[in-house]
Amino acid sequence: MTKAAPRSVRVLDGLGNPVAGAFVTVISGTAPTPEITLLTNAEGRARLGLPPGTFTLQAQSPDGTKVTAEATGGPSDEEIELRLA
Amino acid sequence: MIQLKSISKPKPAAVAMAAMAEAVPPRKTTAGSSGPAAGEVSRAARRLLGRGKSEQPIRREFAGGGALETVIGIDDRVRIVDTDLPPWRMICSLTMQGPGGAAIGTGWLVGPKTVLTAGHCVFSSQFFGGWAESITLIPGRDGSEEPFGQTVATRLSATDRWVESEDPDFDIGCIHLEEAIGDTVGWFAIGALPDAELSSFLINVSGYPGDRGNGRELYFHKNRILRVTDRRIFYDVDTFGGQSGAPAWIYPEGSETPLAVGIHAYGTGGTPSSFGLTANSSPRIIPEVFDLIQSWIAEDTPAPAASAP
Repeated sequence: MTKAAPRSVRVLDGLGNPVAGAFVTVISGTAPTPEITLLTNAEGRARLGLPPGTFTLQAQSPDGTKVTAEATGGPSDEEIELRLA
Repeated sequence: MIQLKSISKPKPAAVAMAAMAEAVPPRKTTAGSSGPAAGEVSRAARRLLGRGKSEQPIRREFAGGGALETVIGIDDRVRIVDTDLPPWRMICSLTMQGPGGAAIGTGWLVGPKTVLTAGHCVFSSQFFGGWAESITLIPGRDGSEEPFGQTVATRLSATDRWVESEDPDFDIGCIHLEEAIGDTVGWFAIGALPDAELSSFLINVSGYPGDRGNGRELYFHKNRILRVTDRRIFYDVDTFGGQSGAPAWIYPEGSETPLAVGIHAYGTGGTPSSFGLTANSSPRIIPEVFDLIQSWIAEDTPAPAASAP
């Protein structure tokens, strides 16, 4: 398996405030990723690794609100942002 | 023949012995334990579990577009609420704490003090920057109900091939408990079975997904094993993130003992496109893995010394 590069993910609400305790999961992709779900910290951030490829991430708030976003894997300093409605 | 070793988190360090397979029997199983008699049989177990082999896969309905990859087609997962009964009570929700945050997964008892899970639930360069700092386990969790309480573990192990190279075929980890929770909830039997015997079995997978119940509710699905390779088992069973580490188990004909044959770890992205399959998968319990798990169990629950005559 191609080595995954660590990436920062941030979940925000509709007003741009960080969402703590959101669930972040890679739900599909062009390379294998483990079936683990991350929890965002107080800053709304989580850290995950994405190998090179294209992936769909889902963020779900504790109250069930969901959002998905596409992300390109591999090394990058760009933070992946998921904004809940 | 490959050799497999365990690497354990330092402080305290616990390194399993390497499994040296010479004349390896083609089939290895443990007995498992259902734990103390529960007084009733789980209705979910009676009605839902897949037993024995099947000539055909269970027919699935497929939604048109927009389906999640690891939930294959329409979501056929069923919530389990009688989690205080076997086999469900042997399955634990996991919350892993790492330097950068937390994650959720699933583990299951294989001995009185030994919990099996995915390697990436205990060690991950991606998620934890190394070993998880601690893991909170709740066996038989159902929402806010914790019928057997919870425990926090810090003694962790994984296969050397996972720790050193994060090889998905050996994505297997172990959580060592201080308390013999398995004596209360029971534990799964494990089996290293030949390819021909595994093929066509109905396989059951159950764990704590993040998309339903926020990782606090147990969900289940089953279907026929689609393909078996030297180190992996592939199946058309719905799962989601958080079910990493879930048991993948079968029931041989005439047996009511859940026999785990894999550790669920990957969605359909982990299935080679050359297979022409849409399937999720588990690292398989092969003889070397079986021996390693046995060494972990023995480490946690040493056999009593023989009495002097």
